[in-house]
Amino acid sequence: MRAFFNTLKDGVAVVDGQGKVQFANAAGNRFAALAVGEPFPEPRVLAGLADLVAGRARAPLAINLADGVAGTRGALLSPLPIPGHYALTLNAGGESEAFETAIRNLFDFIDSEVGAPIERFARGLEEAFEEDSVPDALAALFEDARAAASLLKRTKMLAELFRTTTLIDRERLPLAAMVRDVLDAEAEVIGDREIQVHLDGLDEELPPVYGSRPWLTRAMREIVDNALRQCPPKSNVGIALQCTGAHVIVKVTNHGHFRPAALASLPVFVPFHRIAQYVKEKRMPKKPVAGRPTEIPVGGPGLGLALCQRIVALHGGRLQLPEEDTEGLVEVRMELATGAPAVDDEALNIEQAKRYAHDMAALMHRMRAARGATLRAAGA
Amino acid sequence: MRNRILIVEDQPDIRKLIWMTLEFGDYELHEAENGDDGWRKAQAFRPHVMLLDVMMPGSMDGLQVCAKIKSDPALRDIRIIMLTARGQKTDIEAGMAAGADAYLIKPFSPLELMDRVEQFLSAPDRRAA
Repeated sequence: MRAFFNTLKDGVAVVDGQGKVQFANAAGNRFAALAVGEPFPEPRVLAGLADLVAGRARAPLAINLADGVAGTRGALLSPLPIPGHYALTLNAGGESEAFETAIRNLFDFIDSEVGAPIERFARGLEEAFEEDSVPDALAALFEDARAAASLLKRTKMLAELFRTTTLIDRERLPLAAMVRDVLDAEAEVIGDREIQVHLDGLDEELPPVYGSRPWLTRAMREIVDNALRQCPPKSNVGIALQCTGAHVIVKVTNHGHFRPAALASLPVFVPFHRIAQYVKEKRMPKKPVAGRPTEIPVGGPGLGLALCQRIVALHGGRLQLPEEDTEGLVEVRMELATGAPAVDDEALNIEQAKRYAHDMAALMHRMRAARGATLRAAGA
Repeated sequence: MRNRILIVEDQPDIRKLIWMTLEFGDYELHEAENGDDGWRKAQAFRPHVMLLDVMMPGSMDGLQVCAKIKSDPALRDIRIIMLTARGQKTDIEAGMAAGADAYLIKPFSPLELMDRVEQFLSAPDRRAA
């Protein structure tokens, strides 16, 4: 029986009515360094036990230990069939909880500690380039540093996204204007690569969509930027706005290096999913074969679509990569729910009710006065 | 004949409070819980005044309902009071651009609501400032 208890991740202890430990499994000892015959070393547990013994509390009694006994969230006290003895279960924090905390801490760290140096580094590089005084020998080094700075900035953006909830807004979104903003921002890429951009549905009356304009514009730009950079020079990119019932769809298409089926098989929405491939390609660059599209294009580490998906999902929408291969046409769909988010703003309701109560007397007085005037008119 | 008022508001509690407030007056009241329902009832009941929430779920929000009503020759005389939770300048400007006659910022004073409604009913051709 002792061996069985020792396999449990949760701490288990048996205490008597005074709180003296009679038994503790391995996890219990790890959490609280319990010693048989000694009182349980947590006053909140002893106080709870005293309440249980005196009948002031009912079993099972849950005790919050989140800020107390190391590694535990709480304890549960229950009487055992042996008179005067109680079982105490110490809940271990789950592995997934620990993982989530670690990830959150990492993103907090990146955003708060690493973010500012990244921004300064990227700005410094740009300024150094603008000065036009970089020796040729250092130019390649600067290019690599610039690429690294760009990746670091994206990482910082990811951290910012994951640790903040303020990107959610309830602004009414002018999608057509947002598409035009994106095209303005991408004008240089469009010009350099001589891409023809075809727009469709921008002038149609679409149902309203609500959300954060800056964040959704950023997501839209990421998708459009991908399409512009991954397609061959002098090719076409399409951007269309469509409505299908409860959703407005922003559809971005290109005839790029992607193959839709191959792309669909990749975990494109997992941040940094292409790191392994990226590193491999950096070490052993592929020789391009004329007329044959590359299955996985040389590009970033696989962060852009993951960011977009995160932004869109936080707005209740979804990002899709349909698998249909229409002569190599790649499509990315950003679906956003139409209509304002249904929210029951309790604080507003309460405030409105207060206003109503405040005005009630005046409203009643006004109504009585109106009725009196009606009656007097009728009497006259 | 009593004046007809249509309340278009998705939040049931707020809709109820507006209804209770307007019950102090002698009006024929109707209600709708979203933009599509509001548009249908505006056509069916031809209200004299419409209280229209800006942000509502569904395929039409208050701004779109307002714009449709004001562009329909048969309905454009309906006086529309927009209800906005934020009162941001852009919301108000968008409401006025859609043809709204006035706006109230939530939480609003029921007395002010009554005054606005009475103002439109007593001088139907006068637009609010």
